[in-house]
Amino acid sequence: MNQKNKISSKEATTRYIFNDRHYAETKKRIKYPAFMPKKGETSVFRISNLDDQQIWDIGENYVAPISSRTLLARGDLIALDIFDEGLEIEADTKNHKLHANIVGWPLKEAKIKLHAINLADKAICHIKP
Amino acid sequence: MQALNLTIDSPFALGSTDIKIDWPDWAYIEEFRFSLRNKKTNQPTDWAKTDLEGTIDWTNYALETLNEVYEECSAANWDGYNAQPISREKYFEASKLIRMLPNSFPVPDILPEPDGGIGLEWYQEKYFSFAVGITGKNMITYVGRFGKNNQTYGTETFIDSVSDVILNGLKRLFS
Repeated sequence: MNQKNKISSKEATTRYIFNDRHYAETKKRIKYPAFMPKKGETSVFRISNLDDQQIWDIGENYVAPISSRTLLARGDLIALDIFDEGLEIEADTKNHKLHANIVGWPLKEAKIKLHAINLADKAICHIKP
Repeated sequence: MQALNLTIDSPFALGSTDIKIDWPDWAYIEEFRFSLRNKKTNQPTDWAKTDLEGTIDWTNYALETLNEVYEECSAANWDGYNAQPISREKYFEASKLIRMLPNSFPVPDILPEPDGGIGLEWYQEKYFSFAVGITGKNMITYVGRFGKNNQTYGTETFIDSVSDVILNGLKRLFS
């Protein structure tokens, strides 16, 4: 990994959410399945130095068309929150310069769930305006 | 082979229908009940009953929610990240678990998981929650968090009863 793609612990990331059962609108809480990996990866975007509108724009104009779903919310995490779970973040800039994946998930299902629950607890929930 | 005979009054036509179901495949009963609901008004019925001690009977409500989750997530990519559809096995196992859980605990959130699983979560506040995951293979995973540095997780067999590990975890969360 080159220096440009190295993710510091202070970096902000976000997970875009397309299913309304993965967050609680009234309590502004992300629920753990939103962070569970698919094939060992959880897709996130690096959002440091972006303003709120720019962050929504990535979700709306780039991620939502690929996912074929309507963007509903997002969960913001500081990279340190992810590293504290023993997980890693890998830049994946093939299709978007700010895209990255949370990797390093354990094999045991229960432990995956534990990490996802802890990430969801730390995430800041933003509802799509 | 033993068989179970059901007589079901049809809401759509006069008379009734006799159905013979091979014992002990309760999955067909669940599926039939589910299909009946779809043909009706889709409105929840008999959601909440209160017994004399004030305990809310949330089983029917939870089963209705499970049905909704199953319907919503029965096709791939329901989360926008290529999630797998919820399988019938996991749906039936979740249904069985919900029926076995004591109503003395609060009703759980019923959550679709990207691997096609179903999770039940009781969330109190930050660092305090209990979650179980349905595998569809007579096993359930669980995670209990009882404080910032007080976490437990594991896997338990689930065939015809809910293990003490799960029940004690819930008691601990709500004690």
